[in-house]
Amino acid sequence: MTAEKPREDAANAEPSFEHGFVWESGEALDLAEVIEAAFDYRGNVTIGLDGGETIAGYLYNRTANGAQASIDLFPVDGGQRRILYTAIKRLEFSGKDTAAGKSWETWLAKYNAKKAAEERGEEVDSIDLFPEELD
Amino acid sequence: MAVPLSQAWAVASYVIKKKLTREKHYPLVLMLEPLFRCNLACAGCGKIQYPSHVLKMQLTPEQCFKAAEECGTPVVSIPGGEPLMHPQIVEIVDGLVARKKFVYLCTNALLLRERLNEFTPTKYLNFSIHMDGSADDHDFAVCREGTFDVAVDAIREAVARGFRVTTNTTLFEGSDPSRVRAFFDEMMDLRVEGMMVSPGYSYAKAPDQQHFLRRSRTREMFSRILGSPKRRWRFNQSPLFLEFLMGKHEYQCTPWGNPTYNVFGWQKPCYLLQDGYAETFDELINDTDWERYGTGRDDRCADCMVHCGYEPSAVDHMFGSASGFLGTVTSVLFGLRAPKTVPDEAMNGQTTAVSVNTGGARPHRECGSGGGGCEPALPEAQEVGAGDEDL
Repeated sequence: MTAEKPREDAANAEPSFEHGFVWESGEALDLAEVIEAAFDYRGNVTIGLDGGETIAGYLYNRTANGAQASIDLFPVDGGQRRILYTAIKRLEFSGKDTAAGKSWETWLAKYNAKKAAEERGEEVDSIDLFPEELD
Repeated sequence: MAVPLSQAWAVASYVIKKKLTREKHYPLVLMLEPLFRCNLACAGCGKIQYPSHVLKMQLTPEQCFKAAEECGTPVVSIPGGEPLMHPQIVEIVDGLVARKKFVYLCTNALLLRERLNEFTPTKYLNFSIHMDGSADDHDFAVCREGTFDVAVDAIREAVARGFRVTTNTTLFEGSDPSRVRAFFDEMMDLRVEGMMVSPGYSYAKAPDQQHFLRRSRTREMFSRILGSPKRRWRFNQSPLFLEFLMGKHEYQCTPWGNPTYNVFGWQKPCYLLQDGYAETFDELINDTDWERYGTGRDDRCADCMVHCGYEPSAVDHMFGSASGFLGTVTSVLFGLRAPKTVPDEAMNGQTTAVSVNTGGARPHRECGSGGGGCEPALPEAQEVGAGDEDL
């Protein structure tokens, strides 16, 4: 299934590098810019290569070094891959953003809401945070 | 002394050797992150937000030993993630101890009591317990009630069994100085060897006036906390760094001082920023453009006063100049020296001593059981104190 592109089609619109974002070869958007965003993204990406191979994994490093520019990936199914920029034909922000909704501000809002409810004498559930189960 | 003489000597002789050989980019403390997995889920923590298959990854003991040897520091700090969740953490610690590394195992202590039997007390091993304040403040900071009590119980047990125990505390803007001072008393009552304290790292992409002021407000806050330290407080930190936090000294960051190694490699350029990874320590040191980083050079560094970057600067000051050495001796003998005045812009019509539970501004938050608060180790760790008064 191909994710919908969330970004605007307007020519000058800033790309929105979020879960579901897709870049394909031939687009005006520079691959190097997409890779920088993917490096910052806290979820898995799926890379389509020129030979037809598709790899899903976490992009943890990139080296912009002319013709040898490459990315480093920990594939979901294990191992480690280094892929040249020139081999990338498609890049999708396919995995959920593990940082989304986990900001300090979000926690603070929950905490303050709990305190306010307690002051009103309402019964409140625990808001303790726990790590998610690993897949 | 808040650290054993042997540790102080190991660090001092290491730094002197580096100074004599005029090695500029020498590391002080290896930050070894054997895993990112954690049993807490602190809001905003950048260390634990990865996909499952990355969180399941961990360094092998051999990778840890190789990193320690590559980097060569006398002190290895093990943050994470939560290192006690690593199934081979005992083997890792034992191997580093066998190599005569002074190990600071940074932990939230949730698993410490049940795993204490697996470790052997030695001068080379220090449990550095993440404590972000007294019970309410700590539980709020780590987003789970009851965490403080578990940690205190583990500290008592570890101290009773003869382990070296320190605390590491990250303070954010908005922390209440009088509550922090009371917390320091509480920690000393637990008979810990010493305390470590650092401002947290906060960064918003667009610098603005508010953020420029944040550095000054950090100094104001630390002046209130440390300006008249109690005699019984002991810190496992350089007095020059603590004075820097109060605005007594101006330092530029030393981002190579605490190199970080984890499952991705050697992190560029420092423990807090992730600009990429080098495959070897030499590549990290030699291929990183260090001049790009630090206050006034990179927006992300504008407000940073975290000890992973600035404690190495303080140590370099101590060993690099007569004034630094004499200043250290003076501070150790007579107590920390606060600046006579705090920069005017520190206040800017705002109150710094607000309740910690209001949060303060934390656009991005780095601390955790390993984070900003766990960089130990320096030779002049000290007892401080001229004042015994509460604020």
